[in-house]
Amino acid sequence: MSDVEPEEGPGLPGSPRATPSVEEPATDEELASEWADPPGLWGHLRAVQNDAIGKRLLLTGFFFLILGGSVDSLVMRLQLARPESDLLSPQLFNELFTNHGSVTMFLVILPIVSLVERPEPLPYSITEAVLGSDKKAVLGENTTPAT
Amino acid sequence: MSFAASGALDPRGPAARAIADLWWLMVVLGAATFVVFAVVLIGGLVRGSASAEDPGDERPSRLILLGGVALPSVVLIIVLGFTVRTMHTIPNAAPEGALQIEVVGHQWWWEIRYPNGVISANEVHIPAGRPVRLELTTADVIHSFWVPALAGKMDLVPGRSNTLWIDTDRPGVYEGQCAEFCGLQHAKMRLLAVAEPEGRFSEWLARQRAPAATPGSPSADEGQQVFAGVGCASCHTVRGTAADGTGGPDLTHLASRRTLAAATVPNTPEHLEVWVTDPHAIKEGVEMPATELDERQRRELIEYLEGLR
Ligand code: HEC
Ligand code: HEM
Ligand SMILES: [Cu+2]
Repeated sequence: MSDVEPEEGPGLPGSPRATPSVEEPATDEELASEWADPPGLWGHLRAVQNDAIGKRLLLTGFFFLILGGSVDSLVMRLQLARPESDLLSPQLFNELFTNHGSVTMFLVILPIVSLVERPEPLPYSITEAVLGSDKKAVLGENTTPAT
Repeated sequence: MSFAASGALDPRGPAARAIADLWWLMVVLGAATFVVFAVVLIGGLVRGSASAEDPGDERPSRLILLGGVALPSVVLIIVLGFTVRTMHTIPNAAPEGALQIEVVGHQWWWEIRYPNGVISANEVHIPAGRPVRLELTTADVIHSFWVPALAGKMDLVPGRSNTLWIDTDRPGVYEGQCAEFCGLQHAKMRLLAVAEPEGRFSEWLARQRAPAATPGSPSADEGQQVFAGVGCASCHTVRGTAADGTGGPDLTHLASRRTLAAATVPNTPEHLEVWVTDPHAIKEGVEMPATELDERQRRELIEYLEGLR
């Protein structure tokens, strides 16, 4: 977080972007357009900005949470709700939890955790609580090349 | 189906008791932490929305240090301490007079071998009041031996032998279950642990040592011919006869067992009849083929098997 909030960048609406910027207006504009995402869905899929990629990872994670996390686990729990239930064959049950385990670990947790790798420092209050306000610089407050 | 006490929270031996105590400690600590956390959270939400107008009031640091760093550290250190202590209470060296029993895991049944050469299946008999050392190995994939009322879990790992001590002074029949996914019928790989007073246990062991009873009637005798003729003997041993297969459970004293197919169904003539003709109706995908038998063969075979006391 710099003193001057970065301007809203191109791409997703409302997202401050960590594009490189310089004082000289012409170069700055050129940089901004170099780093801009192409328009449309196809453009979004080719985005190189952290925030766009982050959102995509988050959405992907939630999509697979619904698909493999919830559908599989709900059906498994239905089978386990009554003793000796024969809702599912043993083979299908085994396939379901194998799918559930793989999908939740690799397609839910993995994208969401990689999203958390952010270049910005920890939120202000926690940083301050742990290190004291004068030590914020230690965490590299201005890692975003904003000036 | 349910035969007996099975709960980890209804411990019937010292090891299971130590584990249950640890569990209760964790539940109490977890519940207390949850309550403290919920109170602080709700308090924060109420006060936060009251002072939302005034963003200058940013002094959560003490609370975060205490609740976020100190409290979890204290709770986890307590849990760690008690866990290490519990691990030490569970015996790992040979106590005086221990009995050694070998357990071999198979997909999906348990082979049980006693020191006097008795080989049985799916029912571990132990003398109440005497510690028992279980030597755990596997014939195929990883399994895990678990009788919750008596002790914790221990894996059966290919190429090595693991040890589990069980000990109970309470005679009784305790349910167990394979606790490591081992293929299609893992869920139906159960067992019973039968703890008996020392005298009854020795009698049982002596009876199991005896070879199979000779068929008690002409039709049971016919049944033995069927058993040999249709291929059962290639997988099953009946000591004292020519049947010496090792692919399936030893059937020498089949009729003395309480259950069939790794504690999947009670050992009744009706279940036995279904099992020998179509085991897959009881345990789909099991490593025993269905066998075509006519009415008479089936009756004779069941009579023979029911005579294996
Ligand atoms: C290909 C080897 C094979 C053949 C042939 C075979 N069985 Fe089995 N049998 C097994 C296996 C393996 C099991 C253990 C199944 C389980 O519980 O997963 C078993 C289990 C049993 C059991 C239950 C034992 C127990 O204590 O739970 C009985 C009884 C039995 N077989 C009888 C027979 C009879 C009778 C025949 C001939 C008609 C036969 N078997 C043929 C492999 C075989
Ligand atoms: C929506 C809530 C969830 C429910 C109701 C649920 C339910 C289950 C059930 C019933 C099983 C065991 C199946 C069995 O062995 O018999 C299981 C296994 C498992 N779950 Fe979940 N689950 C949920 C969410 C998650 C999440 C979010 C993750 C990942 C972080 C996850 C990871 C796993 C894994 C790794 C296994 C083991 C799979 C295996 O044995 O192959 N689950 N879950
Ligand atoms: Cu198993």
